[in-house]
Amino acid sequence: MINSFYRAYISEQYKLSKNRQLFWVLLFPVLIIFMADSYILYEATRSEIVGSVPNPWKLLLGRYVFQFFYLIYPILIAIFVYACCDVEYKNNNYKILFTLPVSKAKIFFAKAVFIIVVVLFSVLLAYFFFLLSGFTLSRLVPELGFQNYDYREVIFFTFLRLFITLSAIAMIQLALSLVVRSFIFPMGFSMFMIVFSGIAANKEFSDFIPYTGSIKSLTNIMSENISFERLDYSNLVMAGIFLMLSFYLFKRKGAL
Amino acid sequence: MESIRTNKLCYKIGDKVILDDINLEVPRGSVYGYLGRNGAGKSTTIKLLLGLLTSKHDNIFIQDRSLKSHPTAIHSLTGNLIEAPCFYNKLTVFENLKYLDLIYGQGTERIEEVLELVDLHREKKKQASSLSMGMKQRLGIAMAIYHDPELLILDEPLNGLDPQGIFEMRKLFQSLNEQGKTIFLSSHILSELERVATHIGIIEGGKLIFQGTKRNLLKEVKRTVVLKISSAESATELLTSKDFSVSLDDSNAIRVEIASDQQLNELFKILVLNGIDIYAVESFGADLEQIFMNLISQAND
Repeated sequence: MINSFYRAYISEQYKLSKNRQLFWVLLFPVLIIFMADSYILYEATRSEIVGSVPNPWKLLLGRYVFQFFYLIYPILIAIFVYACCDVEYKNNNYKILFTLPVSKAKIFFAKAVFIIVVVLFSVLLAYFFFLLSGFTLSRLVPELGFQNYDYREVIFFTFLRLFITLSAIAMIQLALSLVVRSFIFPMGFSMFMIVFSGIAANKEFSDFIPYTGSIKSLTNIMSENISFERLDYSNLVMAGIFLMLSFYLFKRKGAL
Repeated sequence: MESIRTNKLCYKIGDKVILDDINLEVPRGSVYGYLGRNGAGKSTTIKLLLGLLTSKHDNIFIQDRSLKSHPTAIHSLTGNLIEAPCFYNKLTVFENLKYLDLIYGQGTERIEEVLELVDLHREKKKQASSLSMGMKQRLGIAMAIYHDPELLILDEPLNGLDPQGIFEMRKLFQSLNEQGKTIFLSSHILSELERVATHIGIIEGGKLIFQGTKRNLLKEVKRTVVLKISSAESATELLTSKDFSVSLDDSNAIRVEIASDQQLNELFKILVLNGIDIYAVESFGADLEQIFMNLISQAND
């Protein structure tokens, strides 16, 4: 059957997987972890940190990696989501999309599911590389003490909550990219929200700003916080709300 | 039976009327040329037929199905190319068709077949963005015909093609039409439309001012016959007295305006019965461009 979600999904996946931005969103977090590892190794050779850090998962790897994740991940997501919408703006390809014998709902949800799947794979890849780099460092420089701590539970929950945050951010960026064609607006909004969430992170209302989740992933890994909080539930709701808002915008969209 | 039927199709933007009571009747198996000046409402009609713009009423029927009730079924029966060709820049020529194949499931053989048809098989590995303008147009046509649609809706499909390309596309449209496909196309290259179209619709200021077969359209227009005869002056007097519009071309030739085949037959009879010898006959039929201009000026009067 032509008008099926499966066909809509595989065709969207085929088309969108040709975007260079896909590789950035998948590989850049891994690159950050690799660079953090290299820096830790460099520091270790200078013997300044060997034996002096109580929990290297938290105070070395976690701190270095999540300081970058907090700033870079929302921007990577914004670029990737924009690229997924931009392929349709170029040559007015909405004309192809809206004259396919597939309903608009199936096309939209295929696109949204693909975005969420890529975000999931990106976070999963980062999670595995994070664990792998800790275990590798424990073998290469046992003096750092990675092997003395079992931090897997905290790492798992930190990445899980990061995934929820990034899903909400992806849906907000999807709505923005469907409203405006310009690259500047969704990117500028994303950058502004990163700065704003950094300033407002300690305020109560910050739980209702999904972008705060990225800075809180740093505080979560540092404070060993594994409990789900209001921010995480709010982000789940936000992801749903912005998914439906994006669907509404997509349905209203014409190909003029 | 009609492939496309619209019933008092209207479209407004604010207070501005873009289309006013358009009743299209596109017979199945026809090549329907849709003519109109820039801004006459051609592209708006085409976008409404494809569901890219929404009509308030249920007044568009394609292959006897309502567009409002069966949009996806209708989209599976139609192929389209509207204004500039649409394709994905980051994909190669082959990948653009592969994308469609993932939806329609026709197989790689169909991709190769379509690429051969539009003469793009040598460029299949090229990125779509690097193609020349004519090749991009061919890719747009390839994407329109990929799923072997029963109805093709093409807006300016010959844009950007060189004379060889136009010739090949004309052949392609004719061969698709011979296979039973209905082709609805607008083009500003009237000479090409004249060669391909079996039916013509002319739109001006949002109104359909003519619709019918090309033969009927050409019949409606007077043609000029130049006759080389033995006595031009007496023939002029004689024919003028019989209500013909005649003018002297030179000393032994006259120019007569003829409205129908019957009138032409009458003209010959009068001349022969009055002993005037006819040495040569030259007929100048109005072409589509002239007819189009005449109809437009009549509509504006």
